[in-house]
Amino acid sequence: MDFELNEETRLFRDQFRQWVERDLLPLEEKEGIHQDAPVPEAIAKRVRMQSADLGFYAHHMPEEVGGGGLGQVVSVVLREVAGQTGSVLADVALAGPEGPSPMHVVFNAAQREKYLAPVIRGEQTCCFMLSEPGAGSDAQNIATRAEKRGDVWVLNGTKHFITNGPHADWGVVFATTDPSKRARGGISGFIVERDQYAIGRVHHGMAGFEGQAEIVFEDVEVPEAQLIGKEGWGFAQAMGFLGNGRLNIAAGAVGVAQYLLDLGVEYAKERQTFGKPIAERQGIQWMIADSATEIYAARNMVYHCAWLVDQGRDATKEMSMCKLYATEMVGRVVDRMLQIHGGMGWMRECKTEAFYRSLRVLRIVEGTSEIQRMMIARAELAR
Amino acid sequence: MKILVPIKRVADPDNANKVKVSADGTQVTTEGLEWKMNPFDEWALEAALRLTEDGAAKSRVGEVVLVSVGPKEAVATVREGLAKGAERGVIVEGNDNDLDSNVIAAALAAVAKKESPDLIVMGKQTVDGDSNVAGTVLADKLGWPIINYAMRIETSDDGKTFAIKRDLDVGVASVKVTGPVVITVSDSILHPESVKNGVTPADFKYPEAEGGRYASLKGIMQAKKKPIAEQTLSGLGVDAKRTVTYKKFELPPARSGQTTFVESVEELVEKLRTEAKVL
Ligand SMILES: Cc1cc2nc3c(=O)[nH]c(=O)nc-3n(C[C@H](O)[C@H](O)[C@H](O)COP(=O)(O)OP(=O)(O)OC[C@H]3O[C@@H](n4cnc5c(N)ncnc54)[C@H](O)[C@@H]3O)c2cc1C
Repeated sequence: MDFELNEETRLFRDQFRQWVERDLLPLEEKEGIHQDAPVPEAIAKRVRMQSADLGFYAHHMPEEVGGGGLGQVVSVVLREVAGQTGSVLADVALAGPEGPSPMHVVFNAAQREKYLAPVIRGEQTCCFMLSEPGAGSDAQNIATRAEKRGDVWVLNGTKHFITNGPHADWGVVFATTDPSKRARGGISGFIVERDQYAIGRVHHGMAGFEGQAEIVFEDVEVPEAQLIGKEGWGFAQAMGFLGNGRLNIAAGAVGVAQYLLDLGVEYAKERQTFGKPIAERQGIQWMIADSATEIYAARNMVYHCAWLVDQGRDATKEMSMCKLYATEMVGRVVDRMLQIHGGMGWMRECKTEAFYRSLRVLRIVEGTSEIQRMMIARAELAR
Repeated sequence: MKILVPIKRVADPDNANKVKVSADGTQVTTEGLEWKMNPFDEWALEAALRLTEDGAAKSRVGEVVLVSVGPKEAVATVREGLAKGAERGVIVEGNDNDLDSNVIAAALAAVAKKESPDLIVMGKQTVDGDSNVAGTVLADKLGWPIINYAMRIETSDDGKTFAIKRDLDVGVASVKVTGPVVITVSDSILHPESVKNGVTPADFKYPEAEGGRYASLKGIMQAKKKPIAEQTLSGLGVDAKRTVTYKKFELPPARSGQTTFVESVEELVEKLRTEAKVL
């Protein structure tokens, strides 16, 4: 068994960390960027393009579409570092639903050229439109319809909670093309351009800012050239890539947990009560010990799962396990580290406060904890 | 133009609190340390890369050869330099504890004689030993001029002559020198217009940066194919002996970690004078 990362991966990771620490964190400080306000578009674009130039942004995309062709292990390594630095811009630099995704590889040559290429270069952004007011966890129940009329598709329906919705240059939308078949060949994916749809309500979450939007389709005509893959199969194809996103979330959670633990340890050594640093109290030590142990467990799950993926093995169940465990783990860790900081931990001036709010969403997005458990149980019971 | 750039891996200065001294105080224990390219060497490499490229067209027009004297593991540091753009690497194997500036300079001189570069650009010091002598001893062994603390380097004849500004405590010294020459650099060499090579357009500005350039993924992949030659001290005919021996290492006393808040600048100055006694 070999747990060492290879030389190139270490170098790539170290360059990423150095870039975040040397350039991005000071930029954040200078521009007053924090978790509760949107990153100004001009800065986000500059960071994305620089990230693309250095090879971080599309490291996970195949070389045939202009990506770095690197595997899942590298992705989790970078996501973990991004979390560990506590940097907001590091997340911009690695991109979520607004950036290139393996799902986009199913685009045909013309679609790759027109839509994907500018996103890979960091010049444009996109979004992923699946959830609807009436369908979240049960995504195959979507009500958005696409009907063929002559040589165009006509789309009607409403999507919601769409990350980057207000800023995206284009999006991938899923709509039912054959209600009798649903997930088994009845849901298709389409590329839609910014001027083809309307932005509805913009949601304001518990942490962050107005980042998720409602997207409204009213008799939107979409040419055949914007259909993704074969009619009826876009959904099934897209679902095949959700696991990678789950694993990336888990890796980020491991990194942030480590960042928070480091904050807690530092504070516990400094803060004195009853004449001694609180770090010398068993009650505090146990919070640190439990957190360190759970981080160790989650990190090894994530790395092992990424390795399985790179070996070409099916890791669907393990990806769910990683997402479930790591996102719940980071919730416990942030709670303990906030507690270690006492009253200060609850104040806006302390980092624990914003993370306490922002991390909560990780148990909801890309499949809730319950959905992960459902999938893990299904796999176990099918044996 | 061909440039030799000596580089060394050092314990990450940002993790200096991990540095431990062996129980008997005879050496610094390196276990568990993270390694990094010596920051001064990173800046020297940046200067060398700027001298040998068209910065606007992003194309190479000269050759940078990296040389590191140290343990086998230093290959990772050399590879990093290659990923940033250098052409070739040389590793002269040696145990850090058997080396001092004199041995290093002798090894570098031997490599320089083989490579005959137009100049050698190096950091003014390493952040571990902080000796600040290797460059000068190297120049002496080669019989070349030494220009220390360069903050600006210009050449318009592909490295035959250089106009150099030196960063001194008392001001800036301007010198003209004919190569081959050894130049050590200060951090001011990272200034957007600090290097002019007559190839990069004169009005071109490098981005403001806290360090040298980053290795891109493309660079990292290309570096896998770039050659790194392995040499030994004896193979190079170096029989230099250590002239410096370390008697004892001690960690600095731990800081008290106390923070005092003050209301005004006057109070701060007063406290620095009377309590901290540093003014
Ligand atoms: C910040 C944020 C960003 C988002 N970004 C996007 C985006 O970019 N694109 C996009 O398409 N969507 C996005 N979403 C939507 C997200 O994917 C959904 O919110 C998520 O899938 C859950 O769906 P829902 O909200 O409809 O909850 P529901 O599906 O209604 O679930 C409600 C509750 O019931 C539980 N539950 C559901 N089914 C079961 C079951 N079978 N067994 C047990 N429990 C069950 C759930 O776990 C949950 O606790 C985003 C959401 C948020 C909060």
